[in-house]
Amino acid sequence: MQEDFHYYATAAAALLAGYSPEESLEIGYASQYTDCCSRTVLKRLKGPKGAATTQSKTELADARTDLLGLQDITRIWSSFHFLPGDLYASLPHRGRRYMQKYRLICQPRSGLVKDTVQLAEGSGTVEAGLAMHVLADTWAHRCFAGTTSLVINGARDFYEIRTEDGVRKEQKISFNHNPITPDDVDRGNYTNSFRRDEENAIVNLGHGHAGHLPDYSFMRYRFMPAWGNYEIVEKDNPAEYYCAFCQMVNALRFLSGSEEDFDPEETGSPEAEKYRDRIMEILEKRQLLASEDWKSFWESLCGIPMEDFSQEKYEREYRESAPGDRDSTFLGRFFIAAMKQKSMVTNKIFRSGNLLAGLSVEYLNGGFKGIRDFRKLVELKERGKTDGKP
Amino acid sequence: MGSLRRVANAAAGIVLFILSLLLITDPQGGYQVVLMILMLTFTIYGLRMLVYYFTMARHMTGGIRLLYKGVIILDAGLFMFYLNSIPRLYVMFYLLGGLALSGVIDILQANYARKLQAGNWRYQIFYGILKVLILVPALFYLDSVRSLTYIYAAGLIHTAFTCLVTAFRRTEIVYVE
Repeated sequence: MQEDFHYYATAAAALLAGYSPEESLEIGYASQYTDCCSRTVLKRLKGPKGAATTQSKTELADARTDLLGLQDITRIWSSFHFLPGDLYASLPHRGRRYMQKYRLICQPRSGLVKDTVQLAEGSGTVEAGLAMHVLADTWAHRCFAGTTSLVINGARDFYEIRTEDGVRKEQKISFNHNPITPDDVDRGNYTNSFRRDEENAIVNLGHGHAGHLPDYSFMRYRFMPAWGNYEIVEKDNPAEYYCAFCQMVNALRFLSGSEEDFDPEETGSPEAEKYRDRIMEILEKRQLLASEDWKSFWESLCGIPMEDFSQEKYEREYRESAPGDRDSTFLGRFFIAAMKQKSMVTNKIFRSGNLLAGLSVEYLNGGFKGIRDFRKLVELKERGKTDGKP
Repeated sequence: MGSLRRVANAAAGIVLFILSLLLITDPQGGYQVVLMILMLTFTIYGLRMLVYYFTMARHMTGGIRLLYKGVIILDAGLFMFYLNSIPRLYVMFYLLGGLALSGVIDILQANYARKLQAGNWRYQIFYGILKVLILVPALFYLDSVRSLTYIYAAGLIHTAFTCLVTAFRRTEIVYVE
């Protein structure tokens, strides 16, 4: 998913869930900032490196692919962009190494989605926005894993599915590997990662082999994933993006206190249903970026102009704050929320017996060990206990 | 390209460069070392590929290709193990043939990359053509083991240079966020 859905559509979902226009923009901003918060950005802001929620292309180009490097990659991509669907999945005749990767395949409606939303419960708009990014990506990125793996993320035989005059037509999708070539929707020519027969090559991370197809809301396509035993997977992005939108509304209603519970199996929303035709029209429009359409939808909901996403919006506030006050700034809260999410997902993966995201030591049992940045979470917890907060 | 791969490429370049110098200064001893290194490299890589196939890639769509690849590479490694027992002249033919073949593969890969509009295909095609062209002077010295050894050493220097350039060149990757 791109800025159009993570910022503009998420803000619209927040409005439908009952948040004010200002709050909805904060939620949208936090959601989109998850795609911006790389170590390079954190270094510039002098923020905690452990709070990285993404890796820039430059960082990936020089990323280490040894054990620790791969664990770092897996922590980031599995926690924020490819939330694992079933950490205890089982398949016959597969080795442990294969299954560790297989279990990281992203799927929506999982228990981890619920954990993600619950982690943001009782917090503010920043935490809610980050959770919405994770939730929305489970729909767009399903069938791919947030770790490097040829045997899982490899994919081939892509066809776009279109319906013309009621007749289903399939058009073979061709790929090139030139990053500066724009995707050509009309000719069906897209950019993707080149293939390398090396299990842990960076090009085998996430949905690189499918190019941007999962990111385009209008796209309906089929392909053969490497893990699928020659079975074809069909993805109907407009329908799945609509589910993602509805689920965001439901999750945000839960986070705002309007609903008592969040059920990840529920993919409909009465609030969104009222605008279904308009939303589907946006989702089905053949365009690479739907920001303008979502923006006008948001404006039609609240009647005021919507400001565009600007990455720098809250960065100055963070940079210019005294070190002791930074945690209470917008980005300070974002970084803490990111570390909480990463910590939670890493712990779940580790507890399932999977070491791909690294070790996770529970503080109560083992004391503090590991990446120094995460000590902040312990300090906050301790401070919360002193203040009488849960 | 990750930093580890860069280090590996730089190390490979340095080792190849030392080998080629060894071939020039001591053709007999250097030749033995080259064969040993090639044999070990191919055998270990082939075995690794087979282990990867049987533990992971056999469950993958189209994974059988990796089995074929592993078997062919392992076979090439084992074949080199026996090269010591045949006249050195023929071994030099094999080695030069192998070098030219890797050049042809480079050219084919570069052509494929060009069709896909990937970057850096010009470098690859240039290096590939140079590797093939090294065969041309060899055709004039088919009966001289010493000359063929020097020509092969020149090929190794070229490969070493390629490895070093690759290690320090800025590369771009496509990754879709």
